[in-house]
Amino acid sequence: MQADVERLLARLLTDEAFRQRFLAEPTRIAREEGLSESEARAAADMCVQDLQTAARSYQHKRDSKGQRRPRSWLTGWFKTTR
Amino acid sequence: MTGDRVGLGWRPELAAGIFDSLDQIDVLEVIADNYFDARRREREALKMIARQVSVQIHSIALGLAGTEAVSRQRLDRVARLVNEIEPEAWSEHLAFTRAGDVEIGHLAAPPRTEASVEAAVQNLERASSVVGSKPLMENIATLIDPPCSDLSEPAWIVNIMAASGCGLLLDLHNLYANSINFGFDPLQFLSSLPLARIGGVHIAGGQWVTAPDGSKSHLVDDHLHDVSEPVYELLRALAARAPNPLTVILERDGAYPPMPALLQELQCARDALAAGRHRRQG
Repeated sequence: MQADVERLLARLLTDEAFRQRFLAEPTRIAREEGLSESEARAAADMCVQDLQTAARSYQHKRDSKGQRRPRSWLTGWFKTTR
Repeated sequence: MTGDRVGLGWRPELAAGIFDSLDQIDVLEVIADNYFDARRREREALKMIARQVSVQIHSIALGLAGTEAVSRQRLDRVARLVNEIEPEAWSEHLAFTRAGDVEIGHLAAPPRTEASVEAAVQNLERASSVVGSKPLMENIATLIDPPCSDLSEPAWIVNIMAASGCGLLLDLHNLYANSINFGFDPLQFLSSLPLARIGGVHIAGGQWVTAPDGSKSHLVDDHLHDVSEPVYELLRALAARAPNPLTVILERDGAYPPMPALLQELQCARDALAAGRHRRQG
């Protein structure tokens, strides 16, 4: 089902240990996540390099968000215009 | 053709430069999520800005194209901001951002199927009802060709637009990056879209990254680099074909250049729009 595929993708993009298990045995792991036989085969056919680069990019974006402190632009503006 | 506009994504780091340059900025696009927990004076200041220049609200985490029903609480926050600021439009992404108990923390492309079309349309109906107006929906950049898809990306977008009645926020860098990473013709993609439904355009820059094993490179949409010439060329092509006035927003999320450089990018966008409109007449 669509929801199962989305959940698999979400885990692959956020959980490195899960991603490594998937890359070692993609069809089996996809089946374990509730995907049908044809869905599991399609998931297993995903380009490994695409997945690895995407996961790294998502991690970078999450890290960047975590480091970015909410900043008052008013405070910053007052500082620059003083 | 008159009425094309060019603007900039509002970022706190650019505030002073933006205020000094409002005569060169037609529209500001504000990230909704940055204001959900903002103090009252910040929101009041945003209202003040909205009285001086056209403002659009851009939401980034509703996950409207996911199978999961969009959260009422999240929609209420967008609705509150939209009611307060009264922007000329609000927008979101054709993406999912969570599944089950997993928060992805960024935009992800769902499998492009009739099921995801239906889910997106239901979420869009809910969002439109709570917020009070339909969002413009943005095509996203993806590094993964979503598995189990049985629709092409343009067909998927067209189906969602048609069934929801929403307009399209066409991100030209996302389109360009996807065309590079998955090897399709961006102009053909453009031709497949309902150009009369385009309510906004994004331009941005990106960078090449190499896969961890070094075997493949991808163009990543990072909003940290200048807009590249192929994106301006897509803007020219779009302006040559789109029947309605276009509002183009430059997105920049860091590694900020001096304000004159950003203003120069806005001017390049104006020039591209003018060149495209000229082509249309020719």
